[in-house]
Amino acid sequence: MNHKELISKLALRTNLPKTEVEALLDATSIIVKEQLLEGKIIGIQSFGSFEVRKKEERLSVHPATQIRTLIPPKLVVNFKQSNILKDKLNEIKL
Amino acid sequence: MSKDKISSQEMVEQIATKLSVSKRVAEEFLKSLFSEIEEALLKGESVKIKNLGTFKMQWNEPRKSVNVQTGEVIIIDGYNKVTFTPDSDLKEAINEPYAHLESVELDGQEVPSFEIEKPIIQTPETLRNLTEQASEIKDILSEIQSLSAKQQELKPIETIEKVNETVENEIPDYDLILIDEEIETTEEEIKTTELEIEPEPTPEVSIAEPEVIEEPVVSPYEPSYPSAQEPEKEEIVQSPYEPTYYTEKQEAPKPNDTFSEVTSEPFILGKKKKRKGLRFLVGFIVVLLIIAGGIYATYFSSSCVRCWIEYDLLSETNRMKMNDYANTFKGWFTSDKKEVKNEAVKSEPDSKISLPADVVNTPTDTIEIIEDVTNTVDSLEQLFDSRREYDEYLGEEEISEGTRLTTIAQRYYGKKEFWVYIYEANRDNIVHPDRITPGTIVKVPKVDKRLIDKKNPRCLQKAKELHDLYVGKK
Repeated sequence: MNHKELISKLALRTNLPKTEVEALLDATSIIVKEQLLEGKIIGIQSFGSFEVRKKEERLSVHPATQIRTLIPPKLVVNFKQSNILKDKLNEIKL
Repeated sequence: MSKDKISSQEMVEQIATKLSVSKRVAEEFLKSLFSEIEEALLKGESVKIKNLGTFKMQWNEPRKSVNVQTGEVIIIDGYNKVTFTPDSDLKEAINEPYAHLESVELDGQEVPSFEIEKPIIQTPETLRNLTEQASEIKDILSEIQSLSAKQQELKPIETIEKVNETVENEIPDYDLILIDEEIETTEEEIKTTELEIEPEPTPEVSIAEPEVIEEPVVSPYEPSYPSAQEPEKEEIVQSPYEPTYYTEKQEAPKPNDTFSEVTSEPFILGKKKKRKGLRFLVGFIVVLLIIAGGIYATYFSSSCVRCWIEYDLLSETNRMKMNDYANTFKGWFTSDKKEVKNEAVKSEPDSKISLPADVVNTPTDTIEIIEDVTNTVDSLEQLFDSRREYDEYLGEEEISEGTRLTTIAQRYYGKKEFWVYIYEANRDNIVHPDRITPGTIVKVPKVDKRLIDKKNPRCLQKAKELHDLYVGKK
């Protein structure tokens, strides 16, 4: 499901015009980004949380050429699903 | 980095203020957004949101694990997991603080200097002294020529000892080995001595005579040369002693050729040092090198050698004379190297004929030479340790976005490792070498040439030490 499909589904669900849904969705993603940049954890009830984590620098060795490369540290967005969502997902498969 | 947590409620508030919509609308939207995503995920679909990222469900396979407390193997069931892959936009924005960092390949520069260049470290420095040593040896040789036969027996000792201690230019491969393994390689020592002895008798007798000296000395070791590997030699040479002679004769005047072979040798030696059991292997490699030299010799000087042989056969009487010399030399060798005595005596039964009493004096000479070497090494060490003053400057550079000290160092000194000296000269302006504010004017100092000798691994090592010192501190 891509962005457009999501908007149309949300429009149906919330009884809002597509343009407004789109504006809301954009605002959401912008806020998520801003909050993450401030280093805050965003917790969404019964869904999961977004968090910025630092990956430390490390030394990687190319297995074939044996060239050692120093990978610099980086910040990544990490998503952790909530237990509620996890349980729901597992119920489906089992 | 504060780890404040923002709840859904706060998100709702923020959305409401941003778009100036009622909280109720925003809340409803947010709830439906995530329940929609959830539904899609439960259907096994992935959800892509522009500027944010993609949510996807992933099946984690069951796997084996061990209970840490009981040690029994347990199986973790397979489960579904929601993965979130941030949009490249978001990813880059988040990683902004570290965006300027790039992965660095270490093997290109640093690693070779430790694994490959290190064994060579000793050679270039000792070689520097060797030019001096070589001239000393030449002086001694000229002295020897003017002295009597008895003194001749003495002087070679000094020269040979120097060869052993300081890695002679002419035959570095032997010497490197000799330093590491005195006992096993005395065979080679004897050969090196031949080289040194060689020039001495020549002024007195005919050219062919040196060869006569070698014959008795070399002969016991002759079997170690696999004759099958040198068919070319045998075609030309009738005498069984000849092959070894050529190799040495040829290697002596061509230091460059042998040295190029040697550069690979120290690498092996560095490892062998600790394993005495493998000394034998090193000896074998030397033998191979000699054979290689011999083949080289036969190609390039076969005609010359032929003349030599003929000459040699004619001068039978000279040969008889020189045999006496040879015996005295052998006698010295065996007495000086007492560890090897048994071996040497076995192969040279008539070796104990005459032992010059003055032999005892020779060790002092060698000690002096060792001190010489350490002194020059220390001078470089002192240079490293002494405080560096920067008065003269090669130029000024303005740091712009993307310019690093290493690039400036590469431009001025030819090696980026030497950036540390630029940093040292500009410590007042630079807080930390990794965080230079663009626009800073950096003065590039004139550094002692010996410090920024990019061919000297020690300089690189020193620069690296400084690098660790400066980068490590905050």
